[in-house]
Amino acid sequence: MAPYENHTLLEVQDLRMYYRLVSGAVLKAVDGVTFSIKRGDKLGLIGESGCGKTSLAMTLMGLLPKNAFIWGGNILYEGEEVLRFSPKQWREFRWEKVSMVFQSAMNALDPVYRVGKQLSDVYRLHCKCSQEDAMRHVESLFKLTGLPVSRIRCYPHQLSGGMKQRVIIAMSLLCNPSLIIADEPTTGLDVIIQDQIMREIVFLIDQLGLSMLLVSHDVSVVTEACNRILVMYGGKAAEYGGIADVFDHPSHPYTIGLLEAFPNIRRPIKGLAALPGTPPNLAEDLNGCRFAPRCPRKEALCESEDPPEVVLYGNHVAFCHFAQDPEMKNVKYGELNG
Amino acid sequence: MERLAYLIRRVLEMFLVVLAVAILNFTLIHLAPGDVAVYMAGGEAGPEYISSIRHEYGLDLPLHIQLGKYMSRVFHGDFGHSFTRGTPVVEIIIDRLPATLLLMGSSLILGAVLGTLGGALAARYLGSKIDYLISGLCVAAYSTPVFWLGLILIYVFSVHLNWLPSSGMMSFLEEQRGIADISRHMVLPVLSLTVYFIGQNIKVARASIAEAMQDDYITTFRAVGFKERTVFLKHALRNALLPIVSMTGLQFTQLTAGAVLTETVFSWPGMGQLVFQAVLARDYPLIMGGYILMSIVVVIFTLLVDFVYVLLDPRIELK
Amino acid sequence: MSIRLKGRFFRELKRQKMSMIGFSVVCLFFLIAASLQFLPIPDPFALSLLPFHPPSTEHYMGTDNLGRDIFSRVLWGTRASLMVGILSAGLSAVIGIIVGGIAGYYGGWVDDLLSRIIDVFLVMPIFFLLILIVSLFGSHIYFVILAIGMVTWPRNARIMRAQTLTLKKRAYVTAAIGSGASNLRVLFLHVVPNGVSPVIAHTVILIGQAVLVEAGLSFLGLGDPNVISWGQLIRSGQQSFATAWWISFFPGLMLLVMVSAINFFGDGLTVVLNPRMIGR
Repeated sequence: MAPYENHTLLEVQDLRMYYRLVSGAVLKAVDGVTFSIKRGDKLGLIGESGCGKTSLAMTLMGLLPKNAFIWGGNILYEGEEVLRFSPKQWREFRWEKVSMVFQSAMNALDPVYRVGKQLSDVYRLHCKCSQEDAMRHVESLFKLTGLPVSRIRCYPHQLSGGMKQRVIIAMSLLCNPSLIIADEPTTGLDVIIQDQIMREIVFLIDQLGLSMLLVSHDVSVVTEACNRILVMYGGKAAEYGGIADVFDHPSHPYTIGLLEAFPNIRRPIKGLAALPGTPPNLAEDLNGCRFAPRCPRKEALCESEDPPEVVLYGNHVAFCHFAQDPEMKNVKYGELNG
Repeated sequence: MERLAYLIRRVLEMFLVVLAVAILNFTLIHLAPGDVAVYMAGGEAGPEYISSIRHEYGLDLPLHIQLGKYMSRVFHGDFGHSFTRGTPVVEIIIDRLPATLLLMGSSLILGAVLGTLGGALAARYLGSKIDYLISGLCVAAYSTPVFWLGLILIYVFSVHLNWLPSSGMMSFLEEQRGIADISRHMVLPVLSLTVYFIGQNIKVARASIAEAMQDDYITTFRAVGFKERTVFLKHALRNALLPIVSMTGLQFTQLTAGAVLTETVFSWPGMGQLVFQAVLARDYPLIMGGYILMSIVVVIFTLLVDFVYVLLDPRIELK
Repeated sequence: MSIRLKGRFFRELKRQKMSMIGFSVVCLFFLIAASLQFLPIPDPFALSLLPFHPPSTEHYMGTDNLGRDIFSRVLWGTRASLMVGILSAGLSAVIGIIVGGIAGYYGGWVDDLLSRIIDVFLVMPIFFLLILIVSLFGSHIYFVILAIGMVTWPRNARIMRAQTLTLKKRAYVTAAIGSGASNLRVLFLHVVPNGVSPVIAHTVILIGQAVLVEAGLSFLGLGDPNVISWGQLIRSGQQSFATAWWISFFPGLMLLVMVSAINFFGDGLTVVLNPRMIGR
């Protein structure tokens, strides 16, 4: 294996992951997505529910259900082809190389065991050390994530939402992974806590020199926490590039819609955009651009031909027939009423 | 400390339950047609003898006074003397209680263990042919009359194959007795009693385990790299135990019913058979004593199960 | 329930295969029980000259110690089982719905008192109680039905109470009260019909249990001696089981089949009435 140049940690090439449904149809959850994460990158993966972002995250962790299958593509982690891992290799990969911070809305912790024990068990699985050493390590992580060490002996139901999420974060750091996948880590939390937790996550990532893949539907969270962004729609990539580039020069109507839909302190006060319509049914055969039915900029071309990858500037790409159209900035959506 | 207070409260509640059972039974017995004194006097006693019996046993006093007197005697451990045998009720019951406890206890534990295993198997292969087969069999299991099953087992294993004894708890001959002997005698009665509960437990365990496998923390522990078997045993099964333990608590009352029938079929010298015969013979002190003590046994078991449940589930809020 | 809901309910139920098979079997038993006098079977009380005869082409299930045809007696036994099962479970449901509804709806000391009574019953060994009641007060079949009903309503009451507690906070209840309906009216016209589904599911299972209980009582000799019941038949064949197994075997088999059918049907009903269940 050649020594790693460019410090690229993760490379995903044209990944296609589908679900086989009970009805016999195939749901194309992830349909040809390409991106990479370098050391120190914080990539935000953004899109609506059902766009495939959580499926993508699960594919990276190898946590797919039985009816899911990889149709094509590669996932290279430090040059190794992850999709060809044996179960043993997966168990060594997970948590030691890549770990996950689960949704705060999930009951990610087992309610019948104390949190300290849950974490130390995970650690001992990978490091094979003694109970005392493991506990010491858990304590250090508690301190790192701002948890009172006394809480180690608590049960999950005795902790507040924010504390539980900190425990989840501490758990993800147990085995010194290089990449953290954070799946909606603050959704469902109190707004003020959301901000706090997100800041702490970013701080930890930076301080420990880790990389992050942040999956979210909230543009404001992504713009604050990440340096790169991948916008997904209907299982495909819509736009991909550095945060500043995409934010200042959005080149896909969906991206524009997303940015318009979230209130932003930096932008002038105006009404929030509302995107009409609903996401596409990924189990049906779809021709042309997935976003066409809801796009204010659409033309006949969009419905018949798949949009090409348009390279805009360096690492900034967009998947739209009209990505380079200077009129793109005038794309408007209707406003939210009330 | 909170848990201690909860348990003390539960003990008091259960005490009230036993009291209620005693009052209920007492009332029923004395409301029933037929004169208690006539039964006690037996045979062809003359009216004077019957009156004297009535007076001696206080049967001419108002009902609530009789009840009061009876209960105060019970508190001192005096359950009176059996009409049919003459010996103190307490002695008779203590003689018979272990046999029933042995039968009921074994069936309960065996039913819980095998039921959980069967349920785990069905949950593991949920929706498959194995699952359907197991689920179908377990419905049949809890639809089977226990006494009929007992007779069939006796016929097959005792009469035809001659592998196991067909009745009683011990062999006739002194030198054959012992633990192995009792165990041999236990096999068929316990088996016929347990089948019903295995069926119920498989059903509950299957649903409970299947549900636990859908919980979010299962994803967590798969993600961290635990083997599927560890995730299943340590997390899914552990959480699935709670409804199973709950179900086990509900099974005690059904166990007593099964005990009566099984003891009758197998001539097992236990409380169930004792109380049944006492009812037939209208041996009121024995009936009352037997009922009260069986209720106490059931209540203690139920409390134990509750206690185990509280131990298992740290989330329980004790009111 | 609206008409649309009812339609969907029946369609869902039809999809539960085992449940439908169970229901059909129960219907079959019902038909048999209803048409007993017209069926071409021998008189169940007729003595013949062939006692202890094993199953044969003349006597499908053999004959008993008095030469009576077992097949016929077994068929006649369906009547007792169905009657006791359905009527006692029905009684239990009615009492349970009323008591549970009142307890949940009115709350306060009424609820406390009723809940205590329910708790006592649920911890009591019920079969023992039935043995006592039936042997002391009489074993006529209607009395057995009454006794079983009077002893099993607490669990139904508990279910109904829980449902009532949840439902009484619903908007339509407040609306009904606001429009002047009396409490009883609101309870029985609005709350109960909407909350009764789990009680129905449990009651169907209860039918099967009641059948087994009656069989147990009859087996012990406490059942109605004038009515042919399967428990009684099993009892009569008990002593001669080693040599004439068919006398006790077939009635027991019928019990197994009937109660299984009821339970399969009840399970399907539970799944349809309770959409969150996993597994089917």
